[in-house]
Amino acid sequence: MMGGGDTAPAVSPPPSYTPFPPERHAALERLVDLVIPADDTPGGKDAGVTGFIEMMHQHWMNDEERRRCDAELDLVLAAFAAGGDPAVTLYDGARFKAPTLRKLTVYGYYTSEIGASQELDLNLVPGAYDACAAFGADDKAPSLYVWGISMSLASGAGA
Amino acid sequence: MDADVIIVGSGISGGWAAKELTERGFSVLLLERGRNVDPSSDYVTEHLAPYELPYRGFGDRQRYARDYKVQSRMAGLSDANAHWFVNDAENPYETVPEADFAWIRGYHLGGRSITWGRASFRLSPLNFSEAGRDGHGIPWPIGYDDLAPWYSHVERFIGVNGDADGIPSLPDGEFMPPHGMNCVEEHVKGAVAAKFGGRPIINERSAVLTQPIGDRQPCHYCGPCIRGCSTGSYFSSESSTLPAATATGRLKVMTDVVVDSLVHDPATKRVTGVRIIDAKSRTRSTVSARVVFLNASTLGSTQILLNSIDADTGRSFANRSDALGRYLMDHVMGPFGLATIPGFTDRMPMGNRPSGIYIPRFQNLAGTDRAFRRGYGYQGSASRQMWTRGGEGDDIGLSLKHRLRQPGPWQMFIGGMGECMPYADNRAVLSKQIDNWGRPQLHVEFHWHENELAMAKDMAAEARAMLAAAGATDIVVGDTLGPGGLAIHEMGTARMGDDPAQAVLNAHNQCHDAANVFVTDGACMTASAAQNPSLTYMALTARAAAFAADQMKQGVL
Repeated sequence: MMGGGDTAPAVSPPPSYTPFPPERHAALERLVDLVIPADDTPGGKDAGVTGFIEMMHQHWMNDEERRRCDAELDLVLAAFAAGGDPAVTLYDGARFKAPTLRKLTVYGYYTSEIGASQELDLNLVPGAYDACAAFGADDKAPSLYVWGISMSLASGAGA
Repeated sequence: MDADVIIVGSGISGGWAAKELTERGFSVLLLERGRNVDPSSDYVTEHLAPYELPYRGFGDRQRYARDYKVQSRMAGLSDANAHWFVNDAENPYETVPEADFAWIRGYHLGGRSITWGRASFRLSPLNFSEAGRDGHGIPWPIGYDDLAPWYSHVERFIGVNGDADGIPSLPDGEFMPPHGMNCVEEHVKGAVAAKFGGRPIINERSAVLTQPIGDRQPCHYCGPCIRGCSTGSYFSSESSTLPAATATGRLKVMTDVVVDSLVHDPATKRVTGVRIIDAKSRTRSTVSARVVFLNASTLGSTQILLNSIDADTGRSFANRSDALGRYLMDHVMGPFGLATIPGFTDRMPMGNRPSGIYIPRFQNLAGTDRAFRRGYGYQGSASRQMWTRGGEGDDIGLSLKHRLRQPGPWQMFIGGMGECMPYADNRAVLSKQIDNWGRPQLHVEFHWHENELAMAKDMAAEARAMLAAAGATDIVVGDTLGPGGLAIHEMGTARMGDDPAQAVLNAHNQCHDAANVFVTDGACMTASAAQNPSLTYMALTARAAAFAADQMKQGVL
C-alpha cells in the first residue's frame, strides 16, 4: 500500500530440540502426568508438556535454571526408583521436591492447545465485553490473559 | 523541491503532520527509517493462541539477552511482539550505569503508534500554568485554551472513549461511550470516594473505538492490542492518519530511509534539505522541501538536530539556547499497589478490555499539600487471578487441575504515573561512536532527582491507603523507580518556550533558530505533567501543521 522494503517477519515454529535421554525423558513424562493428570480432559503427557519442558530447557533457560531443573529431575528419578506412592515420595514434608518442573508443567499445560482450549475456555476473539458477567461454579475459566503471560523461573521457583 | 514538506518519522505525531498538511493541499514526503508495514498482512501475531507462538508467548529469551538487552528491560517483550521493537545490537547508543537510560524504540512504518498504551488524557489549565512558575523549568509559551480546540479535533478523528467527568485538572473531551468498569472497580471507586472526600476514580480515556468511524470497527476485545489490530479499532498511524493522508493523493512515503541531518543555510537561517541514507545500501543523498517537520521521536529528532551543523559556528544550528538535548524527562512510573479484594466470586469479566480505570491527580491541586511539587495519577484495573496462580504452591494432581478450572480471587492493581521535572543534567549529546549508518550515536544520561523520589514514596503510601479503604487483603506496594525511559514517555529535549535563550522551539513548535523547521513529537514538551502524553503530541502537531500551512500560503515559508 505504501512505500517499499521488508515486511514484518513471519512467525517462526517452535525451535527443534533434543529430547532428554530415555530414562530422564520417561521420568519427566511420568511427572507431568502426576502434576496434571488426565480425567475428562487429557493430562500433561498428552498435552505435550514433556516436549515443552525439554525445548525450554535447551532454548530458554539460563544456566542456573537448567542446573536446578536437572537437580530436581535427579530427585524425581530417585523418588520413582525408591518405589512407593509418588504423592508421598515426591515430597519433603509439605514441600514438593521439584517446584521448577511443577511450575513449568502448569505453564506448559495451560498454554498447550489441549490445556488452553479443552481444559479451559479459549476465546481468541470474544467480540463483546461484559464487565461483570455472571459466572457459575460449572463455568470454565478463560485461558487467555489480556496483557499476555510472563513466566519467571527465578531462584526459589514455586515459592 | 521533492515536496512542499518533508516529515521525518511516521509514528503518532508524524502521521498527524502528514494528514493535516496533505489535507491542506501541500505535497508531503514522509521518511521512515524502518520497514514498511501493511496492516492487511503484517500483524502476523494477531489472534494467535499461545501454542501458535514459538515460545508460547514467554519470549525468545536467549536471543533477547544477546540482541535486545535494552528492549527486554521493558515488561512484556515476547515472541508475540518483539518484531515491533528494535534490535539493540544493531542500533546502539551510549549510557552510563550511574545515569542509566532505557531507550525503547520501534523502527517501522507507524512507529510506536502500533504498540502504544492508548491512554488519551488532555493536559489541564493547571498543567500549563504551574510549569516554570514554581521554580522548576520554564513557562509554556501556550495555554490550555490555545490547545483545547486541537484536542477536540484530534479526539473526534482518532476516537477516544471515556466519560465527561467534570474534573478541572483533567479536562473533558469528545468521547465515545467507555468500555465500563467491572463490579470490583466500582466497589473500589465507591470506597475511595467515601474515605477520601470524593476522590474520583474514572474510566480510563482510551483511543480505542466503541463505535465505528468509517471503515474502522469497534473493539472486538481480543486483548493484546500491541500485536496490531487489523480492524483498526485503536488509533495507529496505519489505522487512522496515514489512510487519510494517502487519500489526498499528495503523500509520498519512503521507508528504510535514515535521516542523517538537516542542511542549514547560515545566510538565510533556513534549512534547505534533508540528508538521507538508504538503510540497506548506505547510499547517501539529499532531498529538499520548503518546510521540514521532525517527528522522529523525542531522542530521534534531537539526534538529527544535534547532528545538523551551522557552518558558521560548527555547532548545531538549532542550539543557540544550549537547551537542545537537555531537560530529558520520563514519567515517574514503577510504584504500585496490588491487593486481593474479597468477594464478587460469582462475577467474571467476559472479553478482554483494552483499558482500565484512572485515578486523576489529587495532590497539590490548590496550593502545596505534599513534600514534592506537581503530582501523579494512577492507571489500574481489577481482574480475577487466572491459572498462572497454579505455578506457585505444592499441590499436584486432580485437586490442582480442578482448582485451576475456576478463576481465582479478584485482585486490584494500581500503578502510579507522575510528573517528572526538567533538569539540565538529564540530557542527550552526540557520542564519538558511530552507528551502522555513519552517524554519531546518542549518549544519554538520566537520573531521578529528589522530587521524583519523594513522589514515588507517596504513590506507594497512597496506593496502600486506598486499597485498605476498599477492604483489600494481602496488600503489596512498591516504591522504587527503575531507570529512566521505561515509562516510554521520554520527552523534552527540544523544549518550547518564548525565550530563544532558554528554548529550542517557539509557541508554534517552530525552531527559534530556523523558521522552516518544526518539531512536534515529544521533544517539544516544556513540562511533562502526569498525563500520558501522546494525545498532546497529536494536538500540538495538528496545531503546528495548521500554522505552517498558513505561513506557506502567505508566502512566509
